[in-house]
Amino acid sequence: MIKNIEAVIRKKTFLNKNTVELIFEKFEFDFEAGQFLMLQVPNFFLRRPFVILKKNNFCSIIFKICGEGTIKLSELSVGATLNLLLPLGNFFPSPATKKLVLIGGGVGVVSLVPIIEKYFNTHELTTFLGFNTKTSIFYEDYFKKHSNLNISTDDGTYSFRGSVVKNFEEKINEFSETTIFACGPSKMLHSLQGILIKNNFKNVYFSLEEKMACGVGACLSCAISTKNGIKRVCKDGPVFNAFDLTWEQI
Amino acid sequence: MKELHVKLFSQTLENPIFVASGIFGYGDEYSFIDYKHIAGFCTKGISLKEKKGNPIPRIAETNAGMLNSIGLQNIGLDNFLTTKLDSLKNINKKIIVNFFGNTFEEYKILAEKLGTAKNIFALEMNVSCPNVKEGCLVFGQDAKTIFKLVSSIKKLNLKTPLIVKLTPNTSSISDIAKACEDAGADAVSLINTLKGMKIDIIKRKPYLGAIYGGLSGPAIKPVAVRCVYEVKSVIKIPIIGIGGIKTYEDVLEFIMAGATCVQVGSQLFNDVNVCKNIYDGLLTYCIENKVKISELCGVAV
Repeated sequence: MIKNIEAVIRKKTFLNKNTVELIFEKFEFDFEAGQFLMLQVPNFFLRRPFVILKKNNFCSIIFKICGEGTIKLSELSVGATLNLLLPLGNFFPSPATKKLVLIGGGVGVVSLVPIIEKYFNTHELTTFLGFNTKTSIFYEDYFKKHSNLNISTDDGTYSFRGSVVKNFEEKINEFSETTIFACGPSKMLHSLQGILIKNNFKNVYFSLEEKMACGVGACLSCAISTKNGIKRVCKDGPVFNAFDLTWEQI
Repeated sequence: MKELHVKLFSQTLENPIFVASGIFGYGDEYSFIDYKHIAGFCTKGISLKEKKGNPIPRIAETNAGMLNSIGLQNIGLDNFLTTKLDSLKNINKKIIVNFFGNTFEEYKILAEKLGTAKNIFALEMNVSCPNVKEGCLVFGQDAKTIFKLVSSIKKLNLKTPLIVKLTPNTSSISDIAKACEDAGADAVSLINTLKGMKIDIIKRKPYLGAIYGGLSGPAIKPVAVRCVYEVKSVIKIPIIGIGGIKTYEDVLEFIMAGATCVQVGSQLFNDVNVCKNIYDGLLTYCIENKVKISELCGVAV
């Protein structure tokens, strides 16, 4: 059941210069890995969507500072109250295979965290994380602890030089009987989709993002084109079967 | 609560609060909020054929509001009648079905089919669309055209009351409202969104996929109240006030300017409790001031 919660900031951490983690004081909530919440930023008209995380039983979010709303959010103090609407959207399905590969680009990496939380004990996890540059990296220790980690940076300032898709493609032959979950910029996902089709992958799910207003499927702001018609990222997604996505304009 | 009762189309509404078209879809998505604070809602606008809507981005945040160019995406008349009408009947609220067309003929077909469906409180005709047979001039921007259009719908003798939803993007909204009344409209609702746009300064191009969009939210409230006030001075049929409503004080402004009831729109995206807050605020106001909301209609005119 969707709830409206007045959540109090318990802790604020800058994971790097542009990435912030907010942990909220305890409140009761349920969610599935992949779902998101809509957060009301004080004095801004539209809510912002963020992946729901749970850290030590506290609801939390991680976001990149990329606009006025997130700048404002990053400046709030511990003790400030934020209005949340959650849980929203669908979620990643149970993996069809024991081997699970997670691929994340930039802030899309955050979507992979709840999957790690859910499956690190029961499945064989490999992650590919792509960042622009060394200083954009966050949660490296966390992913290293719970998975076979591969990091890439576009500019080569850390580990593999090149895109996360290229990094994955070079090791693609290691992954048969594998389920793939990915999240990141559209260009990255589109490119990844092509490679996965070429290599006959079957179980692939992408988590998408689009500009949203209601977040519950009513206003049709976040519509995308798929093989099964127009879908709403907030309600029919954000998780989609990767092979249904057409990347075409409506 | 009797203080909040208002009369519209010979029926008593439990309160003057409706949700505007485009906000609630067809009523499926907002079941997690309590409907007791609203009298009813308007459905997403329906066209004859299914419409895909505009390319994204379809929205942009603005100061105290938002631009939208959803493009009237909807499932089309037939799908609406076969898949949505039944579930709407089960929502025990006043349902206003919003519709629009590209030609006079389309409006007539829609009105006829929707006007004979049961359990619909009223039809709301969106006239902010271009008339594709007349150089794409917007129906609601010309008094002669709107008179012709509304007359042709009223000639169908439908039992369901007809509300005409007016656009503010016109030189004289009171002329348009008068034309609607003269043609037999049962009420007018105003305002629809204000035409606006945003430039993406990084891409150096229009931000919205369809270039132009409609501005809504608190920023437009003064324009909306002005329109209600102007229209109240020239017509006698009921006015439904729409535009940037956020608080019960906003609702009072609309009612005092001449509205019988109001529609809340995009504020719901920001605050899912907006209707409850308005309801509570109106009730407290009426009790403290020993007044019924219906007594305040047009007192400022």
